[in-house]
Amino acid sequence: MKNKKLKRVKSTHIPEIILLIFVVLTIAPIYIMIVTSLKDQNQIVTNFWGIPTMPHWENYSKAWSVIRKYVLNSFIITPSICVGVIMISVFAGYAFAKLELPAKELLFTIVLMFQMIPVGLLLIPMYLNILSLHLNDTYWGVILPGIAGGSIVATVLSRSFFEGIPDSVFEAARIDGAKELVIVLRMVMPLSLPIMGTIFLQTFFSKFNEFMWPFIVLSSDKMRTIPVGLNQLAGQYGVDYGLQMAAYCIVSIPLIALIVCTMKIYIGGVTVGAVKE
Amino acid sequence: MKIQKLKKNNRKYYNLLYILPLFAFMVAFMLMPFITGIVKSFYRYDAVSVNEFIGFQNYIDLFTKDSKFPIALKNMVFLLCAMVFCFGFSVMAAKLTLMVKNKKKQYLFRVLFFLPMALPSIVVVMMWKFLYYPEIGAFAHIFRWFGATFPNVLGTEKYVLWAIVLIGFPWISGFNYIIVTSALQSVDIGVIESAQIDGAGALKTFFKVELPLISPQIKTLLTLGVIGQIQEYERFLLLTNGGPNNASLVPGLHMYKMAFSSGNSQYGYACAIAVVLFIITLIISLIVMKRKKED
Repeated sequence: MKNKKLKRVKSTHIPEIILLIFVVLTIAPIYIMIVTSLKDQNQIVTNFWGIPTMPHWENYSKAWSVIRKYVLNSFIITPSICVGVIMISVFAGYAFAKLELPAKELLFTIVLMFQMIPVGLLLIPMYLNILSLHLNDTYWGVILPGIAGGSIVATVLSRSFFEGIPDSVFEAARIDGAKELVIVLRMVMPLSLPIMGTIFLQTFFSKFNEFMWPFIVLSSDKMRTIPVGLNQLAGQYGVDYGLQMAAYCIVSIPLIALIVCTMKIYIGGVTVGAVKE
Repeated sequence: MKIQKLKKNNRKYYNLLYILPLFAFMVAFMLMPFITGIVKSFYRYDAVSVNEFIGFQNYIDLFTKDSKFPIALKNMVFLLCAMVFCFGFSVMAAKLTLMVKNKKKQYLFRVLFFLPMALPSIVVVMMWKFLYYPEIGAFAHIFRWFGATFPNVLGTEKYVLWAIVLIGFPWISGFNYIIVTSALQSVDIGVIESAQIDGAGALKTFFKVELPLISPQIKTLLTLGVIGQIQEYERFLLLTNGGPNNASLVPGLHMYKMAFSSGNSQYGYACAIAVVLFIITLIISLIVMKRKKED
């Protein structure tokens, strides 16, 4: 009897134990990042795993003074891309779902086909085009291609969002004699706030993290975004690991804060997108 | 009547204005580069002095003369296999999470697996680079406990690919994890229960009943993963730059280095590599789409 009970307790706890091990292993590098960010050279060697008794908070102020300009650049470029993507995809999604268009199906199939072009492979021809437009080393050189890359998925998302809203909502307004522009401003915009939120989050995360394209386009130091700047940092402050880790911690804060505040919207958006496909 | 129809038609074309910005951006920043890429793949082109049409020569060189490209392809295949294996861990974690009966604990696990997703990807890569450092990194410390010396894994041909694959262990990607969890949750409990009544154990139920039921989501995620992996070379650039001795070279990185590595600027050749990779991803997508239709 006792034996049986013991067995039962064990078998229900096995998933938790395995998950706990997974969680610890997933979090361990983050823990090391945080404790190392408070150490100097010597402390890293003598006390690798522990929390330092004499935390070096100045690592953070030093790191901040180095990466400040990169943070500023990222916070100019990423939100601009998000705004562009939202404007384009909400209108396009609304039109594809609710308005009459010539050759609508064909046009939407074209959009879906563009989705299949792997953006990573466009790197070199895109760079050649940006060179010929003289947009290299400018914010626009990152923002415009970023909007193009993000808008396609976002349009597919927003189309399926608008399809979920009954036609009668818009028809009623039209019968009341509302102009199309009024419908867009007074109805489409407010109605689409949830999908705007989802698109904003998804675009923000993917573009904030983007490394390759800004790395190639933004050649001068004062233009660099956070990921590019962090890579630079590793070269400049080779052995000052405390400072580097402090920089990593600083740049992780905005994204973690954003995801904590918006977890529900984000998870909802991700799962909806995947199911619809 | 006629006027009304005309008006309606006008409206239809006027509506095109809504999708005009989308198409303008798609044409300018996707279609144009796409065409440029294909065209330039037939040129010897360095954007400054050389611009010469050479037909299929870039492609011929790529498959016959280039000694690095086969290595890169071989590495890519290895990494694709590794990716599928790593994906299994997200599925396992999702299933185990749903087996946790206590709702609060279950929620806690979900949040804990999901949150690390917010870390900028470059931070994760740089972090692991630090863990791998010989002498001072985490692995060096662990090895020292057992009296062994930790080799410079990122600088050793034998270990470098394995070391890169190990990054992110236990590989629970927040994105895959959420989608698999919500897919598993939507499986009809009745189906599982009837399988269990028929005498199937927990493992058998999972592999024979649940897994086939969520296979559409798994296929989608794996396809996305495969296509992503074929294009991915950022972490190889950051960690090893393809070295040592091309042991961690992948096709994407080869393309990048041909174009931007010091003294190369072989844009035409790099475009040819991109086109080959594009064709590979296209074939994979088409196979998946066809299989989806058959299902």
